[in-house]
Amino acid sequence: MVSSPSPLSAAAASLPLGQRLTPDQLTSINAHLDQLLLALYALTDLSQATWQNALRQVEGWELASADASINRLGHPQGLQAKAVNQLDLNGIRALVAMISYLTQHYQELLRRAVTLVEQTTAQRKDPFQTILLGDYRQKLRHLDQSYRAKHPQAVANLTDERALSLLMELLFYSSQEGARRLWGVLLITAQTLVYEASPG
Amino acid sequence: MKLVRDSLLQRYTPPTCTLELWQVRPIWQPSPKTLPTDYHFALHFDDPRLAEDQQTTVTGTPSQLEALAQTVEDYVQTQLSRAFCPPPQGTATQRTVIEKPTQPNPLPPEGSNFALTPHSPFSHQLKVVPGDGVTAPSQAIALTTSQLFDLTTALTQFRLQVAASDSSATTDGTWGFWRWSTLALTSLVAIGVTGAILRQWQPGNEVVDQGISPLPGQGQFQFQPVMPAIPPPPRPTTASPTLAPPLALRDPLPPPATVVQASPPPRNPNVALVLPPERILPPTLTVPPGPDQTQMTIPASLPLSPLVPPDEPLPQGQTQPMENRQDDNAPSLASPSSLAPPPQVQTTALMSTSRRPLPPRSENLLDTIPQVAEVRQFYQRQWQPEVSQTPTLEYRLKISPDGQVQRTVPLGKAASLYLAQLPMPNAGDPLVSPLTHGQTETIRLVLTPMGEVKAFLED
Repeated sequence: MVSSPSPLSAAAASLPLGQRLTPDQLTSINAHLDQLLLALYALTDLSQATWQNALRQVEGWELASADASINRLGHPQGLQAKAVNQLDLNGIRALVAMISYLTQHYQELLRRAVTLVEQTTAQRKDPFQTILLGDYRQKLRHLDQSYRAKHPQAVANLTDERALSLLMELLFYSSQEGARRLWGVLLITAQTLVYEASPG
Repeated sequence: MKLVRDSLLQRYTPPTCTLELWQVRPIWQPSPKTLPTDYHFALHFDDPRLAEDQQTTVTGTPSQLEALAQTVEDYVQTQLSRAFCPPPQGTATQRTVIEKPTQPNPLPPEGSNFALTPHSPFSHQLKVVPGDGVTAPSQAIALTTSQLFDLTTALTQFRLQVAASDSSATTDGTWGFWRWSTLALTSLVAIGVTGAILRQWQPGNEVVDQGISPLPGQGQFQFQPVMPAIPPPPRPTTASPTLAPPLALRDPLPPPATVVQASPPPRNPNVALVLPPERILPPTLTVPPGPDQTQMTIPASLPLSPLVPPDEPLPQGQTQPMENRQDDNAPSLASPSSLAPPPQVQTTALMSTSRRPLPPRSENLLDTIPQVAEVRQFYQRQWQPEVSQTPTLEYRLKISPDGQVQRTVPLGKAASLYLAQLPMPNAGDPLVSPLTHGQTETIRLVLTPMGEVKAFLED
């Protein structure tokens, strides 16, 4: 018996599938979501209990593939063991719902971090000189190194500018329409990719 | 006399902006249940660092508000999609992003009064072209990312409410009339019945015969001794007044900073103490004898001692912290050797040693639980107000039973702006000691521009 989906699940369930995505587009989307999760974990030190609550938000959702995909993620620490491209479209949609839930849960901290970046930037200071952002960058670098060690095809190193940009993105995904906004961004990102024929 | 007035329909208040929907309607017309089509909006960009006359406000029609919402959402979507890094190089298939970032166009597109452009990775500019019912400042409105986020939040809430209003308007339109008619009829009937009951119990009516003669006879009345009227005991819970809806929608003002009695400067140890001399007693008065009177002397019967101000009566609420402090000191008083016999009660008129010394006038009176003092001490060590901070900052700290900060709620716009600078313990570390009763507590934290820190427990 499937319980009625939570409002978050209902919002994610209404996300349009859009056109069929190619494997490369799926790879790009997976990588994007991994970056968001890494940044979220680096900033918040995501607890197992919170992660399980996020999983329960989509567990009532009758998507067997999504369950299997998300269960492979486990705790964010297991993110390092997750292989890229393992999530199919339904799994991606479920993960979008989870990210939306987690960012809403940590919205206050995200806002605090973004405000700190704005203030230090306006004062022409290094944002990473603050304790919150300095710890965030250090942890993100460590997580990114571990992640890329197991996923050689992963994206390039996360620069400091990208680290700050991820905070801004997570903040916008923490709104009421965050899941739909993230889904739209993923589709736009996938559609803007161009594939050049490999040489030879 | 004005027959129409500008009525507030709805207000959305994220931390750094306020979106208001107003409608001009006759004063006798009740508030509409659904959002009408003839409202106008006012978007205020709140910044406590600016004066009241420097605050930026944009006004316009419903269509302009919808256009603004669409413009903002499109801009946010575009910026978020551009933020993602391209996939790594060196793979079998080279991938590049073809969509090059276009030069920001400062002017709104044709048909729109609004344009958003990035100024830097964390700042944006909103350009509003006045006209078509839109009023706005001529210069572009600078927005930080958090301000842009609040703007999207307000516009999203507006759009969701419009969608909900549209879905319920069709169902409530017809039978809503019958519902209100029934309610009005029922109210009239109730008023009529109540009036009839009250008339029935008027004292001027004839009482049912109880065997009492209409005229009082002698001795019929027995006068009881009149006791002084005793006021009813105070209610344990006082009724909380409710504000009118327009006032209730406004952000609550921060309470005024309490006046703290200045403490005397510390005594310079290099300066020797000089005790004031004892009072010089006046000489015994002697009244010169009159020609026909005997000599009189006024004996100094009263022992004139140096005046000691009488102990002030303990104000309300001061016993509780004393009790807490007493409880805290209970283990130290348990040893028999520390117990001392109670002091002898002096019979001096102006001295009393039976009272305990008064606690110093400080915020310790607000430490209803030890965690309040811990919060205050933590921020007294950590908090350093900036020169630009002018208002008092207030935050509501939700403390979980294990002593960690569950949530920090800024109260007011200034507090929201300075939230990022608020010192916090490391992630996972508790701010205070664990709560004894295992329930979440709410502590109000007040930070003044002078560096003063206050904390008290909220109900």
